[in-house]
Amino acid sequence: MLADYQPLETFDELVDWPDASGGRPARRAARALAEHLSAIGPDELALRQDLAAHSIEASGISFTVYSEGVGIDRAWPFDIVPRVIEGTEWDRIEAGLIQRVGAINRFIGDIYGARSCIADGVVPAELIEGSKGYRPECQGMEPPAGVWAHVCGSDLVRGADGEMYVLEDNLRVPSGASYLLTNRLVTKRVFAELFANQSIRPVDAYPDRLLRILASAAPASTPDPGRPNVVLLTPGIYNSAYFEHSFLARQMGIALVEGRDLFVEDDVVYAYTIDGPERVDVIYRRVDDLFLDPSVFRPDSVLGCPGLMAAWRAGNVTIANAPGTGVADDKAVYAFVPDLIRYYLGQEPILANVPTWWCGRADQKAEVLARLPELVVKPTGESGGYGIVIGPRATASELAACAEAIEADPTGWVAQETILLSTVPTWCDGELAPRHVDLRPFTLQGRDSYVTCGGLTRVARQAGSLVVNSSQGGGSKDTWVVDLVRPEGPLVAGLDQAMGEGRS
Amino acid sequence: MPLLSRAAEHLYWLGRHLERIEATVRVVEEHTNLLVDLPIEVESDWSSLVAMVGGQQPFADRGLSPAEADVVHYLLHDRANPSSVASTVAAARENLRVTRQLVPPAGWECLNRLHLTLGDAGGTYLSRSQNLAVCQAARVTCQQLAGIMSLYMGRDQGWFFYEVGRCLERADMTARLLDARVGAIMAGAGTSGAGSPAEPADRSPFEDVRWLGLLRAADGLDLYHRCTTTPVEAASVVHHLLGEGRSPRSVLWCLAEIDRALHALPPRKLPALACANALSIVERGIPLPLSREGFHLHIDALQLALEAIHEAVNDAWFVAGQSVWESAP
Repeated sequence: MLADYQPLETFDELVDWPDASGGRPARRAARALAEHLSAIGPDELALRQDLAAHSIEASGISFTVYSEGVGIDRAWPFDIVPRVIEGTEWDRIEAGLIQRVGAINRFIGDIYGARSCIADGVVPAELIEGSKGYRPECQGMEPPAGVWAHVCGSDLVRGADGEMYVLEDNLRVPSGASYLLTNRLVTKRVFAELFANQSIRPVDAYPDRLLRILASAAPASTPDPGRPNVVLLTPGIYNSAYFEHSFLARQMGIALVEGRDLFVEDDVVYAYTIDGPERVDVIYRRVDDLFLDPSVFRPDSVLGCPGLMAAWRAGNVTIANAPGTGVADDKAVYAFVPDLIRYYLGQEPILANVPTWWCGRADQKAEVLARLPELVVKPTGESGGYGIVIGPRATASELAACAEAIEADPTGWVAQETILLSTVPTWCDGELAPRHVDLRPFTLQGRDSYVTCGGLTRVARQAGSLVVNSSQGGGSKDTWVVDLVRPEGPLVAGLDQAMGEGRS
Repeated sequence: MPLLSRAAEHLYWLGRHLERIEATVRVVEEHTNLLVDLPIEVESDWSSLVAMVGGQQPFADRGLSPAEADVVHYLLHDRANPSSVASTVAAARENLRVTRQLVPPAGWECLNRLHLTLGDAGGTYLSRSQNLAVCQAARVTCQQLAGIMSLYMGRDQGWFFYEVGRCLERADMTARLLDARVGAIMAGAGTSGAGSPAEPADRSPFEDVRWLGLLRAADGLDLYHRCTTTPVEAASVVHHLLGEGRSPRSVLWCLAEIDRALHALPPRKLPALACANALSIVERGIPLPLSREGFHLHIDALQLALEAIHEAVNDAWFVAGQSVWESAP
């Protein structure tokens, strides 16, 4: 099956660059997977893919998309061929993510506190004031343990040079962790034999670690510090990530609340329960800042709860991620993260940024406008892939419109070097074809830190496309962090034959 | 942390909806089977099914005909009918979706499958055997779900709300079934009382078949034979469905179970009183000799008492609690 695979002239996560004979051998961590894929025919692979789709539909693993105002529940798109990352490489990425989120938390605390990074000239003041995620209401706050961003979903991409770059730090309400877990469940269910004879790191500790981090972030005023009441605040069943909210609440054994289940009295948050009002200590919120509290932010919001911000400011409830965290989610701030790591931690960044220019600086803007057809241009305050212009694929009129938008609001735009994302073999119309992928690991920070083993691999389903967002038709894959037990050769010579598996 | 009021309400309605699906399906199955047993010249009364499940007015408003095709489609597949099986499955699925984190995962998968099956079927009118297959699928799903819930759901507060909803709906559907059928059978058999409805088309020779059908529609036939030594006759059938404490299909059993469940929940006075009142009606029994008039009054009182339990539960835990807190200083 794999023999017919035609990789592109770019980095492929499963097969290596051409060897002396021009063939592309499997990367060592992916060798066992490649052997399995070689051994089974297209009919078998098609069957497993169907089983996976059926299993996803039957389990109701879904996400909601909006089309013309109507929410439609779609089965979660999943490709059966996993993406493999070698354990040693992952260890480095993990350290890099912890370092990065550590610096980001220091930065947010600094912005809402002393602002030494501005005084020391590390970031320009206008960067902050112009940020969509900046909340003046948070000025002077000091959340427990100095943690603002408890959960960070980073988007990583690998370029043709083989380097793994951080593309974005999603700090507001990043989603996808549940799909990372369910993708593994589905693979185990329909492709169990793949897990034989290799050492794949498990992923299922995430909800437990998340709960520990959330509980450890409870405010000092919690009546029963040993057992704080942690809840997950969802916008409700019409939200695109409702499946995830429900899934994580179940896995953590915490209540899944909506804004209407909460009320605030004397700056304390309570939930309506059948036993009467119950005090809430930690809110893992999956509602955007601006909808959290209609008495402070959008007055028309029915998703939040009036008085929540006052309760948070009074130190009677922890909100995770904290309000105002989005200031570091800004794509212009992103450009400064390597400097922030050096500034706060005195360390060199382990993970590289994609080279980025912020148009708020005149010299950088000029360079961006000159190189517009080569660059990817992004509005600083958006997420989910909205508003992005990919220079090499844009028409002349699209580029002209983009240049105009940059001139009109330079601080609102960044441009990045185009990265030709790496590929993974993906089941498409009866064959394995290369499709571009990114990777979203989740980093947790409380009094200690945790990174998911691997992450959610998102895959662009159209040939050549670089758009991986599920809201825009992207798919997903299980992600394996594989430890090489014995780096060279088969694990046990002849074991496959001994188990009766014919090799073709 | 105690159960959220909103989650409690959804679990209660999950129980009610699941029980309603099963009851509706059984009535359709039984009526179809009964037809097979009756001579062809006996006109079958399909409109009584609509009356029983509720929704006569929308049925008439839409100009549907009280014949098998329209009635069965209306009861099983019609999305515009909020009590149809398809609509009730969709409602139960929403209840489960909101409380998914509280219910065994297999339960969701089970109901979701039925929802997908019903979504595929029912766009057009189906044949009698296709409809029976849909009924069977729905009934099996409800039975599987009941098993999954009872084997794997923790006996926490959520369970007891689900159980109250289930038992209340079962008691209510049994009461509706008795209300719709007993008078008609007795009238057909010549045991007429005051205020008899339109003359039924069938005659007394089929009275036995109709009592058996009533027991089947309430899924109580097998237990009737085991609990009762008398042959199938009016007073003992009615007693079996209302007051047979050994049958989990009886109203008495359902009320006793509701009483047990209420004791496991944070104590509230009104639901307990409402349940005790309904229990006293059932325990009092039907005035004998059985008359249509006396029976009708009895069932009427029972139905009002069941409705009162719903109101009390709703006020105690779902709604009133919140308004009380909101008005607190």
